[in-house]
Amino acid sequence: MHKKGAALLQALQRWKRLYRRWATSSVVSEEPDVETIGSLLADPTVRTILARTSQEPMSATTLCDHCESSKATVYRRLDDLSDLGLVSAQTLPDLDGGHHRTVYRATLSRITVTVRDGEIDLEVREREDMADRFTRLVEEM
Amino acid sequence: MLALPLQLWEGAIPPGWVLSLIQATDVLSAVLGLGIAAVAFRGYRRNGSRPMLYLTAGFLLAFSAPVAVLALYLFVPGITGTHFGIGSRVSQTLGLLTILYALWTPS
Repeated sequence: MHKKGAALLQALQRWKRLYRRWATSSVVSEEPDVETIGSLLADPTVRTILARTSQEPMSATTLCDHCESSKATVYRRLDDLSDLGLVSAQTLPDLDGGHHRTVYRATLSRITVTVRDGEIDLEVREREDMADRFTRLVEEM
Repeated sequence: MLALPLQLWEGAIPPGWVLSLIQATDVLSAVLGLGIAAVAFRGYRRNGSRPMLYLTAGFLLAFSAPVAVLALYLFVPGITGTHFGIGSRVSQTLGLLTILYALWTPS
């Protein structure tokens, strides 16, 4: 019985991953600043946040357990990443406790650096979920 | 008897392949409607957007409820073809009205 449940959960996770791969498309975000992106990525906390939240949405508290830095640093980095649109925050209603819970997920999918004709260009690609695009479409009507 | 200007078949039952085609597209549109409703519901869950909830209900009513009504028709004895026809048309109209409300209501 327990084994069956685990297998079912695993299958569900696989379908979820398949759905996410199918339903998300990458879009080029607006002009990024090489220095900002570069200094952010130099920080191990930022890299951990991006890597962890690309797997599943996580709360700041959970992220603190995975990072070796202080809670304040994690929150500051999350703010920096949110401002640049590399991470998106989502507020989930907590039915038991009554207070809301905020989870973060990585929207960054790829950064391309191009060196050509005496210039360095940066292109940041972000993931966008079909459901979010649909919502945007409806709300902007 | 009143003239029915939108009635395309002149009394006779259409050929079998036409009926099969109609049924196949009905099932396909029910599945697609269910899919779009699922995406809309995901949009509601992720963004807490109220219009998306109405859109979910609208797509379910307009596209998937007719098939649910068909299932009722097939498995519940007391329901006749007339009930099915009326039920699915009413549900379609309600669904489209719900979608219209979703687009009209402020988010």
